[in-house]
Amino acid sequence: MQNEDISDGATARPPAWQASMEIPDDAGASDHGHDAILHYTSTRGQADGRPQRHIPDASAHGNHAMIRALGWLSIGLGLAQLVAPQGLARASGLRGVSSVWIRAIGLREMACGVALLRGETRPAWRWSRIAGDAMDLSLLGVAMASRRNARTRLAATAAVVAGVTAIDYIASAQLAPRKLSELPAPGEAGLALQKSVIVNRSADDCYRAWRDLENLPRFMPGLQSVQVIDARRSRWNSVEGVWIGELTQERPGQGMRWRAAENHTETGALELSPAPDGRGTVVTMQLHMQPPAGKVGTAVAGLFSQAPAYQIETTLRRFKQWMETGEVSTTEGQPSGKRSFKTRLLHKAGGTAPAPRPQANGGVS
Amino acid sequence: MKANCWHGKRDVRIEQVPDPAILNPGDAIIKVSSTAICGSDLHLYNGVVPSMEQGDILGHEFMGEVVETGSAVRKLKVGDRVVVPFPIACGRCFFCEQQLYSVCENSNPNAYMAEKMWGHSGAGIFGYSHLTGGYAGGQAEYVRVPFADVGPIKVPDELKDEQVLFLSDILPTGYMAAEACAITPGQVVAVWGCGPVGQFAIQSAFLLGAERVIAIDHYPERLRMARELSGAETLHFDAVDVPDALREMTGGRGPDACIDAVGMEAHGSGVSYIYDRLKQTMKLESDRPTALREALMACRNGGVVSVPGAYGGFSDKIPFGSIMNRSLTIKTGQTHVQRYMQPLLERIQRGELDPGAIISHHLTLDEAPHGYEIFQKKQEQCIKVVLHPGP
Ligand SMILES: [Zn+2]
Ligand SMILES: [Zn+2]
Repeated sequence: MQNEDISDGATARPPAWQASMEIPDDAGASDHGHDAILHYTSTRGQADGRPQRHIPDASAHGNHAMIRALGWLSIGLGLAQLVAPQGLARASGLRGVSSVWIRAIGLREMACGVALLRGETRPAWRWSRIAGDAMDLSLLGVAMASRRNARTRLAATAAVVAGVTAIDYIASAQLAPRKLSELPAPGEAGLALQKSVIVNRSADDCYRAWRDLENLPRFMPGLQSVQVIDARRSRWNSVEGVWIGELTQERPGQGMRWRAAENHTETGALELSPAPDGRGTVVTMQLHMQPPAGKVGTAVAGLFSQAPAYQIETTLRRFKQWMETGEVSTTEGQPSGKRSFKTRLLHKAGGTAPAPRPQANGGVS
Repeated sequence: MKANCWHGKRDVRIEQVPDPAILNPGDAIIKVSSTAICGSDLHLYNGVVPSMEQGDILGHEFMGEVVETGSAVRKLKVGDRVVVPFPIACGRCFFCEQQLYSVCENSNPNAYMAEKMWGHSGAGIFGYSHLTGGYAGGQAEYVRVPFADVGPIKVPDELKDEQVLFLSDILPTGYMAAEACAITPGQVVAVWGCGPVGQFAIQSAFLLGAERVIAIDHYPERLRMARELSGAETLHFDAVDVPDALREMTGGRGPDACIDAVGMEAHGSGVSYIYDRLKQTMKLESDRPTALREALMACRNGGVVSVPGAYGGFSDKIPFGSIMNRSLTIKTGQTHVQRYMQPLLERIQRGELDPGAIISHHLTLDEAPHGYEIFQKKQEQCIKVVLHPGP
């Protein structure tokens, strides 16, 4: 794995948390010393140049040409609106609109162009541009309603503005800051997710509770049961089907790694590290899925294809609740008055899997 | 059982609903003997708190008798008479260990919703929207209480319901608000809002050493209570300009501490009030911080502004320049009720506090909709309504 920094230095970004995904094939034994399972590095790009949807510098770099073009287009258009407002109005089929208005719009357009060229990526700038496009579009809509204007020309102008809006939107989305918790490791395609929670228990307690895989359905939404087959393999029954999971690394008190036994494209990892000042344990869970989304991802945290981030968060939150209090907080099954149709529908759709039924904290103490 | 359910803006109904059941090993079921309507219930009633759903059972101030316990409950047993604090706290997390019970990390099953709204989630709360867990409330014949060994406190038989009921919320809330002011002897405290929390904040401020308390409201019966029951000087905000009056009463310096016991649906006058009213109606602003703004501007340099009033989301035009340039301290938070119940119970037993004196109406549970209406409209000189589900 190479961790060479290829960033052009144009935009400073926070270090991406990236995990090296080396999994020895003979894994399962804990004979790899005590190095942490997830390695966090501060690399910002990836060396081999393959297209990366999830690495911000790579995507911003790839679209540089488009953004430059958009910037110069904006400045040109703005300048024209500023210098010859009425000429431009005639050309776009607009009559009777005050020059002051058109000049104002031109100024906005130019400011946005300059911001684009300077590489402004702050959300306020990106959204002000789209808001500006929307303003232009609605102004055209108003003009369209008036019979004095040349509607064919107006329609053509509107089409052009709508096109620019669409490009703006795409550019904005690609320039948006990435979530640290969703950055894949360098050289990895697909979806990577990582979340952490602090549990007010020792790392050994957390490890023991998680390593007893039959405990997992207590806090993983959508998981109905786990049956241990042998030291490494287990059968997972979830609402989305059955799959065989395989532990590839175990580090007592530190973490573990697992993957699907049948295809090795999806992996998961758990890392335990002491929280500052001895206040419990930082529990980090990571999932990495290669497209097409296979079974580990979906089964590991329930209805995964729906909202992976929500599912992984829920798993960690419930794990914490169960470890600290011996139960998982719930309101499922409590009384209520007559629910409206909308509310009932919401509960069916959004409710995902109900929290586990009451069970005392057996294995952990 | 019967329960008071929310059905939309200014629409609450008594309905027949299933009895609550033990859902977790730490739960207890309480047969409710008394339950109150809180000022913050009016925010739900007026439909300004997000994430309420039709059919939600209301109520977060209640007490009663334990009738069933889960397998893990140790301290409580069937037959105990208890008062239940409104925030639900696990007692085991980082925050509970520091007695910050109302920001317990483990009691809100909808924490992901609250995180969207507030960045991080607080504790679950009984009968107070789905952002705070969607727990069924206590304006009912029975209620399920999670983490029953942590919250509820047993009360001696010789104390009547009305003497201890308010340990569940408004008494500790008023007390914590005054405690946050770090009052030293001789200080002047101003309190916006003379509802129940305001009354208890006034009384607590005197208990903690304030020399003068200035109370601000525009309902005559509340102002009278602040004067006669709690010993405050009063200002009627429709009649006098409050910031100006506070200056005059404090030699131009301003009160040492200011308490906003009003919250997000302030009444007021002037341009800023109309501005908030409009924006809140248009859903451009979730809260109406008229009282908060005034408290921030009126407080003396280096003073404390304490906010027990309920706020839900976003407030506009908060004078942050005033806060920064004048070294103000802001103290706020949902009340960490569990922390205050025992010491306040002892004060009640010693006769230092008489919480029952603020009750203006005793009604049956069936009369809850009427109770909400008169409390909302401040009719019949309504200050505090207590509901009795029993016969
Ligand atoms: Zn309350
Ligand atoms: Zn807690």
